[in-house]
Amino acid sequence: MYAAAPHEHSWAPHLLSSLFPQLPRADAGFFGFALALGLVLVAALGVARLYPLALLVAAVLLPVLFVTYMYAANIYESKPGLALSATIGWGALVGLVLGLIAKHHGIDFNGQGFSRLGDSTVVTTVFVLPIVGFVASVVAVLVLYRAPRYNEVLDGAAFGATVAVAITSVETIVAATSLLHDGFRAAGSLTSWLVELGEIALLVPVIWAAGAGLFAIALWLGTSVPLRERARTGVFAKPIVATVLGFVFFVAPGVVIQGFRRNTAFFVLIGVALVALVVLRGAIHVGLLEEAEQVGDISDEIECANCHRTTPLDLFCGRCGIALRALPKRRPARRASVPAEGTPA
Amino acid sequence: MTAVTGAGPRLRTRPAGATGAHVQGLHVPVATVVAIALIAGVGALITAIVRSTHKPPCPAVVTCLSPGHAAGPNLTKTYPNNDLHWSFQYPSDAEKVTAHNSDAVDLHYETKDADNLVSLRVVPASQQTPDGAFQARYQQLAGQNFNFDPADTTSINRIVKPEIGFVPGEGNSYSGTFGTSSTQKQAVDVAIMSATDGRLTVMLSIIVVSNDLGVVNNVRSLAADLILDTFSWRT
Repeated sequence: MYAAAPHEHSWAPHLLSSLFPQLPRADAGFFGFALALGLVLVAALGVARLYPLALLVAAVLLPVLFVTYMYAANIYESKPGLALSATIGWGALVGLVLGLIAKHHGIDFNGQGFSRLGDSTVVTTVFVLPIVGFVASVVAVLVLYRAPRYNEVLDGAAFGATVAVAITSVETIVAATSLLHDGFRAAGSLTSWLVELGEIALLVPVIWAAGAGLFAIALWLGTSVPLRERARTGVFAKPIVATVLGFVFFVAPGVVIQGFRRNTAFFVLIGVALVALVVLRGAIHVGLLEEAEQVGDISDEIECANCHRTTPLDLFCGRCGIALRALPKRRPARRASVPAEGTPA
Repeated sequence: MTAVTGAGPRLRTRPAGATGAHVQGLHVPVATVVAIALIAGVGALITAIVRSTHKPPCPAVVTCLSPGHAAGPNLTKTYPNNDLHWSFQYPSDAEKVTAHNSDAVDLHYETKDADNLVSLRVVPASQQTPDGAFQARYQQLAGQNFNFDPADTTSINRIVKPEIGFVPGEGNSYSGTFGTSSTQKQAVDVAIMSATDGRLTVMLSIIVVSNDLGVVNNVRSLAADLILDTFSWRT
């Protein structure tokens, strides 16, 4: 069972529970509906050949969902300033810079073959820019890691994923600004545009989110788990392994798009995204289990927000099995007005 | 209640599990669509502004030439090839030979916003058939980041009766794009024609950097018609 969604296998590449693990099952369904709606909108704009608008919507879809997720699950614990500025704000700034560089060089969606990977322009767009994006994601994660309130594995996973999708979103938009000169209808064949829109909307952001999320989870785990107990976390608590995986996932989309022909690259990217999701889920699962080991017995009862049945306030719901940390955080209660002494209530 | 891990930051037990998402149900897709619509609206506004300030390809090519030009080219030059003894005339005030060798010549025809290319390749008929010359040029362009739509059979710019120097041949016209990046693709229109008189095989291609039908029609008339009409198969 996947600790964040007990009805799923921990190694099955479910998109929603991997990207938004702190949502109860019912709410995750509506996020899935929102994602599907966004993808339909992208496709509709593409079929209408309003390619610039379709690209804009594709690029902002996942960042909008991540911001909604952070609000819905109160991941920033009612202090949104630091979290949003370090993720969306920092990601937008880095994306702007990377986008200007990419615009200068041109993002090549038509694979020229692996033999071209050594060309200077290709090296910049396929390797240098993604690596800079990963490093920028790491910087944001490190800043948020130092905030004492964000001390849970899923906090790190959410922040890493959010900053990564923000970077790739703004980078894509900035690099594509030359399309504006063509007005609302840019040149290009429908099939090729739909394939690229799918990569922009879903595949590349998911792969990047997984790469940054893995690093964040390794950082949180690696410093919270006692040394003598790190063996049971496997590779997921090793920042070096997570860093290498992060680099791989950030560079992989560019290499695949450059190396393979257009449609082949699309299907290969789907495979990479599935692998990235599985690895991310594994890390989240191990992270939640490990956090359970760190906390002692608790003996109160609550109503589980996932299955709505009473369960002891333990680390996992005794009824549905979900990790209780993989649920939205409670907001601070409003201050009730307290009558002064002698004043009628 | 808290628990001490013994290493690293302390994990505090948060009041977990009893709270559903703070945005639930249909509020999620509605909020998503509203946010995306707002962003798309801003993007559409910016697109409209940029488009209105960006001068489109000149629909009447002649009037977009630099002030020194008259309403049409009135200077012609003859390009001769003394190896295979062929020649053609071209409008020298608007078109320039930019590259040539023993069997090929490139001419550039500048409009206000673009640099259009006319290319000729002339080889002995024994070396290549018209169809071979046509396919060779098509494949060459396809390999140079030209992305062709299917052959144009309907627009005013379709090739109805391909002729070079009044010798019938074969030809087709294609809209498409040029570019290595989806974010910087250039709309182009490419016409390729080839013909043979038994002694020579000639291929002519014209690449117009536009997909506006009027612009393409104008550029082809001014840049290629004179060449096609004056091509001499034996000088």
